[in-house]
Amino acid sequence: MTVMASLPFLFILCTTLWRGPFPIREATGQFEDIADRPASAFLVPTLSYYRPLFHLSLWSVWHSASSIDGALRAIKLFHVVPIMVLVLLFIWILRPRSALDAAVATAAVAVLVGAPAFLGNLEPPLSYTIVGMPAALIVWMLLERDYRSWHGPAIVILTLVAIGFKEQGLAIVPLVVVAWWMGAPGTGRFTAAVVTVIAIAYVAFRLAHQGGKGWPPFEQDVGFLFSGLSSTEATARFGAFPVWIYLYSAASTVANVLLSEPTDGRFRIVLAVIEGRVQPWQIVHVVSSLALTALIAWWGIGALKSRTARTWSMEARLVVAVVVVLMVSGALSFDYSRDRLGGMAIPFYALAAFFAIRQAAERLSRQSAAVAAIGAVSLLLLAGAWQCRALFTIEFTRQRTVNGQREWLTDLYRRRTDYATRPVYLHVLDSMVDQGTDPARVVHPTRYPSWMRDLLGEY
Amino acid sequence: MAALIGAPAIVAVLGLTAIEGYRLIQPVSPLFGDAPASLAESITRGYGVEYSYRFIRAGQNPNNVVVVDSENYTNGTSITVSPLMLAVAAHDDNTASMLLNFGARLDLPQNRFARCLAEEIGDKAMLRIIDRHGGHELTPPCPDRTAVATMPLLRWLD
Repeated sequence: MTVMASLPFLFILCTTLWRGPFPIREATGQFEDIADRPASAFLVPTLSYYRPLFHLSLWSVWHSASSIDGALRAIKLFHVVPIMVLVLLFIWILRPRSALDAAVATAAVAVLVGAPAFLGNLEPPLSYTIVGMPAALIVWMLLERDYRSWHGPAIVILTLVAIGFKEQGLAIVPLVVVAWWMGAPGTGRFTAAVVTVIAIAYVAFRLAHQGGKGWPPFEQDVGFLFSGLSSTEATARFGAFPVWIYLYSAASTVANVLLSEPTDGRFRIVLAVIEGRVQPWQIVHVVSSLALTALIAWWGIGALKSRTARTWSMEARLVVAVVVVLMVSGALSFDYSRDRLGGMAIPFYALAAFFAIRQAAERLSRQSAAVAAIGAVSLLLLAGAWQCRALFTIEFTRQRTVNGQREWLTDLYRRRTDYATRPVYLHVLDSMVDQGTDPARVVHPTRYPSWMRDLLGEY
Repeated sequence: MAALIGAPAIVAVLGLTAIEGYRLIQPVSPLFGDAPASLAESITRGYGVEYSYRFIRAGQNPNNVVVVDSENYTNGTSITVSPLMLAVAAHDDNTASMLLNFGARLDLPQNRFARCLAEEIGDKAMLRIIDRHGGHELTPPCPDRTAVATMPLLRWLD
């Protein structure tokens, strides 16, 4: 039932991404780089951004494809395949065995795909974290299964893949270490040691290759309370002692996963409430996140209390996994907060949602009729709110492809003139015009009735 | 309990499947956005650049004049005007950019007062777009046409 309920969503989302145009801004520059530079150029970090495996993967596809169209199609797979693996693997890990399990699993899938941190990672060709998310989930699955000799190498390879696509993959390292410490059956001390060494080596390597001037204190715009600061403004305001703003950005990413607010470090919904212009969808987002996080906290405390001195249950380990991955995801976003930077934590948050909602439903079934009825309606509303958010993911993704095509239609001439001295860029740009402007490639969002759009959100 | 928790997912999946099935059968419907019947309608009724572009992609020459009969732009009079002039009058920056990107020429008589029209209606973003395509150099000095007509678009018809 859970798979059947998830497949239409998955199919629509993946076909939207598969058919949609690559954005002119993000894609052409990336493809110029991989077309123009040797593979070895991506191994040595020259900027603060370092995604060697992402670039090498694109480079391999680009240079081995028989045509640019073929390369573009293959690059789309770096998004579509991880999304399919993530959702199907998520359901497989839950293995619903009863009607209640199946119902709760559908709600958990909605949490997974309705989360802003999932939506924020659906922008081809930037598949940095969407590759890391299923990798983390596979690692978790291996950690929780009976030990096999190949688990260690598999976990190490998955960790390397996730880190190679983006530094957010480092979140897998403490996950493996704490899982081993808590007695997870699928791993051992050696694997924990190897991934720790990998993490230390990676960080040392990055610090050693900062370039002559070192990294700037702020790479991108920084959100702070109700407004945003450009990187220059942030440097002027916080550059002398940036620790507090780094902590603020890290906490913002964590809070965005747990509460859907702030977004990009800015308290947009709180501001809307203060100014009396709050929208129904903003309430849906914050309340559904707040309620689910409270439910997860209640379940998590119970799971931790029920462990004995020497044994940790799988649920207790999951509680720690959620906390650890969330904290690391936050820490790695210290420079600026964005929805997408919480991506590695979302599969674990959604797994925890499954256990929390299931436990709540089981407890309610043992209560008096009145309490059970109130609780059941509350869970119905919670599941409904997350389904709205999952639908929003589809419609927002569609609108993003429409916006992407709009940029191709309006920005082409400016790009050609601005980059007139870069022949490789122009060649890539011209090769991509058809995919960028073909009307058949975009599906316009559904024009739901206004009350429905109010509940879903702005797209 | 299971039925209540699963109900939203079932409603969502049935609704989504029904809507997408309907989209396959009836892609043009109010639920998915009406399609304009002409390039002029697309511009005057604000369908958006992606709808306007469909006509250009289908082979319509962006320099060919179109017939417009609109209360907002022509006082209800039927006139022929270039899509670019119409886009400028409609403050449709995106469509103007698209038309210029895909073949509209500012040196043609039907487009040569596009810059003057943008200037008169005070659309600075439009002026930047036109100037990026050489509008400043290609446009003759704007004559005084304040007495010609009441609607800006009618005033700058060549």
